[in-house]
Amino acid sequence: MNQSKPEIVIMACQTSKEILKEILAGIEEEQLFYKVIWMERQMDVQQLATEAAKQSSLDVGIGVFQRNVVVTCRQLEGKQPLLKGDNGYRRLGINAARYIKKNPFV
Amino acid sequence: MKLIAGVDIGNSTTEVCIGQMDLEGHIQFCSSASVNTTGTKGTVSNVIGIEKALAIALNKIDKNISHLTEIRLNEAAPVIGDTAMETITETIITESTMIGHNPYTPGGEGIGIGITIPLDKICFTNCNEQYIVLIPETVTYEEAARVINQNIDKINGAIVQADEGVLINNRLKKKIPIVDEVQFIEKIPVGMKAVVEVAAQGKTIKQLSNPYGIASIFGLDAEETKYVMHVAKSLIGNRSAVVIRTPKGEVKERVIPAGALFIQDTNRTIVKCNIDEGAQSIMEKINALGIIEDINGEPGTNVGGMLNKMKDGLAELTDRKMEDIKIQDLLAVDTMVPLDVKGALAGEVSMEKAVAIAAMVKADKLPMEKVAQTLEEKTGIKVMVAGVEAVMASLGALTTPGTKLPIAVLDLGGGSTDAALLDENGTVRSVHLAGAGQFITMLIDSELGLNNLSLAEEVKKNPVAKVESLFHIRMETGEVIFYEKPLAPKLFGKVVVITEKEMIPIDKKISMEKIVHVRQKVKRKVFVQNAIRALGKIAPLENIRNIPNVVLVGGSALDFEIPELIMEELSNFNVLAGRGNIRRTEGPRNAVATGLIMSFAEGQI
Repeated sequence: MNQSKPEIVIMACQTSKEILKEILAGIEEEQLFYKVIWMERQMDVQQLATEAAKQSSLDVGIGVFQRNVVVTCRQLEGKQPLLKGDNGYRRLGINAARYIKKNPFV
Repeated sequence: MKLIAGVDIGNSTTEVCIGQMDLEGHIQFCSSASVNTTGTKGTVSNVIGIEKALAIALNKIDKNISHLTEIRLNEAAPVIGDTAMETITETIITESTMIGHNPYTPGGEGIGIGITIPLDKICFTNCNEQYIVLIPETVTYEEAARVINQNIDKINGAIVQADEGVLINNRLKKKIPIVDEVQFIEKIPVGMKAVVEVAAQGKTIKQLSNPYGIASIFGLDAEETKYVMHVAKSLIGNRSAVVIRTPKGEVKERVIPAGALFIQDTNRTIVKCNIDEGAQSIMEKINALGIIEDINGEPGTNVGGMLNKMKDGLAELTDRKMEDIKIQDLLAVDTMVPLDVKGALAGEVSMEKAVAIAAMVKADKLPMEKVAQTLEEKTGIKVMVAGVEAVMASLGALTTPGTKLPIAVLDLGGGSTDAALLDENGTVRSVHLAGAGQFITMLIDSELGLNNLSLAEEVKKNPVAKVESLFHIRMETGEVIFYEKPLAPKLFGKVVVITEKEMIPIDKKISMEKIVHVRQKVKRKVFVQNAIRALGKIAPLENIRNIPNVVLVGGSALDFEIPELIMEELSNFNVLAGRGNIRRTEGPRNAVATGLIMSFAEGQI
């Protein structure tokens, strides 16, 4: 654990503020904390998510590259991610939070 | 050397047993098989299933049908069961006066009272009044929060269509209760006094689930308070709710005229029994009567229609006239069914009372000879209709190690519960009762509101578990099972049914504890009640204690908990009961087919 605050980490690269805002709104509605890290260097969306999960004290990370979003957790490193999508960004945020709350996805 | 096949056609499965008899008349059992019954029991369409089962069993010992000397069919008990259910109460909201639901995340907390008004009209109002704002999903959460903040002094609560309660709440200067995910927000009357209540996290609402709480807010008199009882009742257990008072609006519980049953026994005594009196009273009356001749429902009522529909269906199945169908036993069970509230705004459901009925119809005699004839023509093997089912079942059950005469057999089937008692003199008493496995499936389906009979069937047969992470599940017993590979995300956080092959998610907000509770309660209501009823009827001097040992057979005896529930109950009567183990190898299956082969041996000596 390199952080004490329980937050989902979002690593974003070459994406729009609107997409990010929707994801964050989803997390906020589920009453969880988050932290956004903007990446300058171009990275694969899967890599972004994996790296974000590693930095999250909740083990859950979201990678956003352009229009693509991947939600994963540390336990799934190298495996199929939890969720991915290129629309319904609010729902992806909600489900990332619901994973931590152990609630079924919507 | 003779090769004989015993065939038992049941409501749901066809079972065969293959035996070999040497020249001295010793029987050796070789093989057995079980397939689903094709068509209705006792009709010619059964032949397809019989042939399939024979082929499977014979294939196991490298033989085929032409090697058989004789095929013996059981004189199947001409019993067919059916089930139906009718709700007897209904909750109706007129003019939309309440919203009570559990969105995952409502916003804020507390109680807010005010006049309902759409958000875009709030700036035109005067300052002396207090309001509850209605926010349709076309308004973004940021916009909603901005407008509320501008008018914060006159807004006491909000009703939101989208799932944005927390988002709005987080942007407000003052905390107000916010109910979100209200689907039909446009139906909420405007300009009416309303109350919004949101409980703190982990708590449930207190004020609106209390009739006097509602009366205090709206200043109701004693008479009016009586009418809000159903509002309060249906809001119990929610984390958030809205109650709106409109001049004419009300929520009522409508009692549907359920009607009465007329039970006629063989002495032509007719007993009338109102459905409203509940299942217990119906069963007391049925059990008090001797042999039942027929049961009818009051014409023009729910139960009348229900029994008629049943008889109609059974008449069609057995190719007879509806007047000839006589219901000889009936099992009534009280249940609660979650139904959508009529006129609801957020998909609310209410638990309605219902009566479920299983009925058993006795045919004069099933056309087994016809089945035998067709089978003989198709196979070229001699086919005999041999022996009464009850006798055959008892003979077969006796092959269970540790049993002796007199023996009682409790056949827990799919369509009916049958019992037989065979004593040392060879006399057999038998009884057929309505209500068995299929009835349980129907009750589980309706009581959990699944609306999916095949899922209900799996819930009946298998334990459930909760998927707690992608790598582990917690079984209903509390045990935890870990997996090396991650489970599918669609299962995550859900309650799943653990079948042999897969995990089936239950996509409803039903807790694991509720499922286990309903499943066991229904099994008790049907099989434990029927076990006591059946054994009471066949026991010497009608006292269950006079039965030394009871062997449970039939498909439902394979269930993972039904035998235990029955054993538990029978131990109170000091009766030895247990799941059968036919021929030490078959478990509770194949009793009748085995009995048929044993009876062949006796006939030869």
